[in-house]
Amino acid sequence: MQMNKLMILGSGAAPGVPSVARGWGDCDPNNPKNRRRRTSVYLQFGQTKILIDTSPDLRDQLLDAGIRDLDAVLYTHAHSDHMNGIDELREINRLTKKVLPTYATHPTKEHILRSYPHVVAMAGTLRHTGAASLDLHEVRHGEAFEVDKVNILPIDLEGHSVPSNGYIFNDGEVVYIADCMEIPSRSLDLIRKRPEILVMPLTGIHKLNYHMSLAQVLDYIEIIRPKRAVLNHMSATCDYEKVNALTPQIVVPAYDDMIVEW
Amino acid sequence: MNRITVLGSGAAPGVPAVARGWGDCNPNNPKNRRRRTTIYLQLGTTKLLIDTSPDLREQLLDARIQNIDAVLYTHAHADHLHGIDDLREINRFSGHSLDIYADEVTAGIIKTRFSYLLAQKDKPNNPIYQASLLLNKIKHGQSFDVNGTKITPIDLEGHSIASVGYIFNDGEIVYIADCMEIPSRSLDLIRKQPKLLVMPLTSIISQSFHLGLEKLLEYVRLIQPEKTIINHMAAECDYDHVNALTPDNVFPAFDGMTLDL
Repeated sequence: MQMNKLMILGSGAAPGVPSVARGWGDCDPNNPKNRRRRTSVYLQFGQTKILIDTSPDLRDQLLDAGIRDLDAVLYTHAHSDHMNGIDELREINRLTKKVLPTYATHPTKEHILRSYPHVVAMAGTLRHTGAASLDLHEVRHGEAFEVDKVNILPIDLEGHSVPSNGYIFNDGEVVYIADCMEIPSRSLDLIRKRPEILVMPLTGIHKLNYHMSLAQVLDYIEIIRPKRAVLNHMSATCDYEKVNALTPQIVVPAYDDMIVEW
Repeated sequence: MNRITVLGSGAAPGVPAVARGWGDCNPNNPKNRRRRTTIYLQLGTTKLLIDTSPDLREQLLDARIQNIDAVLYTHAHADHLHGIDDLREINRFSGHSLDIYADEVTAGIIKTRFSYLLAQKDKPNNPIYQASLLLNKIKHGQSFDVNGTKITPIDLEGHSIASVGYIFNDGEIVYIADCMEIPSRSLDLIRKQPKLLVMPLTSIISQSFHLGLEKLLEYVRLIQPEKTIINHMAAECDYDHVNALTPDNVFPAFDGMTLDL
């Protein structure tokens, strides 16, 4: 049977935990699960290796996880805590000696083209400047694409401060939701089977500007009914044990280097 | 009291690098573990950062830095710039905007990539939810003042993007960023013997866009500082190896290195 794996490389919101300004906040500093880098997630379906987002901590994340090659990078939105590690992908190019297929919806792709033109490979060829070589593809809500044999469906999310999207893998086997206030029904309708894993963003236990509350996250988990849900993207207001105590058994808070296999 | 802290002594890939690992560096020497370039300078009461590497958050946490007066950018490469979003935490802590300084090219790239971080002097925003950086444009030879410290930006040449160095208090400290050459119009602005010169190395043998150790040491002889720190080292630069190749008053940097001047 094929081995599939999800690894949380960074479970923190933009400031990380501890944060420079607020320190550990409500988090117990003695619990190592509360030490959080920013959001990058590694997904492996059999031999297919996929990275979701490239946080500024990407170098440390790749080193610690021993990740040296990737088949694709998927972006969820153009915020610094999800994107500023983009230049580190050149290390993957150096190892694989290939351009790296990279997927983003229109606004995120436009942001990459405008802001990081030096990492976009021209005509699918490796750059010789020492910069990363990303083969950038624009993807659309509801239009599936394949990476090796993995079927990936981008879905719209609503209410974040920049356009954001999630991804459905293999019709619902894994569902990844990024920063948002709402998952519209046209996106929920595209989940065709009961997910093995649902990843949801939390940020704070209470509702914030542009981020849903824990109560809303749990509502969506009830609607989607995954076998397991992982809460990611937590700020210093989210102590691991506290969040764990507030959630049903199938829902677990993420921590850095957490691995879920199925 | 004047003090420099090297928060990151590595070139873009850091050491170890994802692709090349430790390279020529001895993995058992903790001085060889290198984050990317950020420098903290305290000159009297003035607190400055030079560049904001992607490792900025960890660097600020480890050095317990929560408050600074200004950030000086040398050039717009990711390894010197992409921690900029973490300056939000400095805003949150201080409750006010933060001055950043950059030349035309670097300022243009900051505006393109990170416009959401920029505030305007007459329109203060709320630094709790948004970074609040005030972008000041600088030019070669035109000095400015931060909290009583005189800072003179100088042109550097031959890097793959426009880069600048900084002279502090007419030459007390001289900071040179990635380049192939320091033009004479820049060297001429060093008006006294520096207590400290910081020079970028990258690799011992010169590579495209980076000077090698030989040329670096020529500049050290020309500028004649009391002490020199060699920074921005890739995995080709083992700490003990570089140390053995350099005179007594020239020191390879390491992460967390602090020098009182």
